[in-house]
Amino acid sequence: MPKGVAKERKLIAVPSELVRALNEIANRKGTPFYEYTVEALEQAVRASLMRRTIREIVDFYEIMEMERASGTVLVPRDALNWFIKKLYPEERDAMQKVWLDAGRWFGKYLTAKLHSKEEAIDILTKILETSRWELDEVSLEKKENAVRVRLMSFVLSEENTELLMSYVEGVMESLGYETGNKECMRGMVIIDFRKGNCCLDLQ
Amino acid sequence: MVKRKMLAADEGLAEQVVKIAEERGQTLFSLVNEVLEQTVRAHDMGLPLKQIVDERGLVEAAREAGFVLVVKTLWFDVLDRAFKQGVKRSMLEKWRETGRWYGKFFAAKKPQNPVEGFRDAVCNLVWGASEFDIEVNDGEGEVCCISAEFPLSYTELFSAFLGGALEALGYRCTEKDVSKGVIRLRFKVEGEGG
Repeated sequence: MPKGVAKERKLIAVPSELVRALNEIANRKGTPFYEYTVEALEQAVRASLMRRTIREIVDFYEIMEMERASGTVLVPRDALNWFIKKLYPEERDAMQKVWLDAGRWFGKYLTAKLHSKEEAIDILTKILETSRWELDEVSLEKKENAVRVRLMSFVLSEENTELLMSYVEGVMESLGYETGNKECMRGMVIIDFRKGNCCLDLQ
Repeated sequence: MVKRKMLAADEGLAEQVVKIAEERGQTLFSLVNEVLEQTVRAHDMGLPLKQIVDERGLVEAAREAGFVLVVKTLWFDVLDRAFKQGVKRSMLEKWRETGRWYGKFFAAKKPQNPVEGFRDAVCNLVWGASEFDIEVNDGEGEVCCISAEFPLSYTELFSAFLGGALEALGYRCTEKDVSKGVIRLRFKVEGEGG
């Protein structure tokens, strides 16, 4: 566009309360309000190109921050699977114990970080959905004093499925749940958990 | 009734936003409302919204490039066990090979500046490293990675990964200093003397 020619602008209605909050932020940053809001809309367009909403992206960031703070790393999938396949036949029990303990630790971390164990279960669901991307289906169905966990994957190996089950059992144990019925086969985990000593069967 | 104010936006941008709202079956007002709410939320987290969207893009790229998220203690445990089982040599080769794959991936994905692309990706992937950088000047450069958390096993493997990537990017290692949690590699363009 030639210099000095103003771009065509359109007006969009927004809640005045939000305008006030954004105006304050823009002022504190020393950014013109117009630039600040245009950037926000540009990010919404970028999010849409990623086939996400901006809310989903901010939610995801929060989960990733929690993951980062609780001590996770990004590793090449092939390398991880190669190691597990190599070690698992001889060290199955020891590895399951290590995964169980890591799950217990993460359950305690969630309990300490969040307001309630209910909220911790919701966050665990989101974590399994968003950051364990080998999983195609994640469901943590809450019913009174019980939770049924169902995890499905088309790509998870048998070893990884068993280790994932140990990890989830560890997390749920720290959240005050005991393992009831469980079923595990390559790429599929179904576990019924019950709270404390209550013996409620979801089935 | 919510009090409203008018916000000015470039016509092109406003049209794109209208299109998104239509695709999602939302009113323009509710979509813009959501975007601005998330901008305030991002600000409360101490970040500009752009950075949060950038991060999502990087994580998606990592996922596409075959990375998975693993609990650090489990990952280090697996590596230590494997080292104790005496498969160190094959592990190092596996990591070098994985590094070569990533080097080629970035050479193909960012042909103008593959080293920079690789460095940026690794910076975002190596959570827990207090320092990570790759500097290149006039065909030679240095990789520096420092982390108090990395056990020796992981440090050695990560160094093999970096070496493999640099090799695929057309460099050869001329000097190597690897100890627990510290990696320093110096490298030159393949074919240059030294």
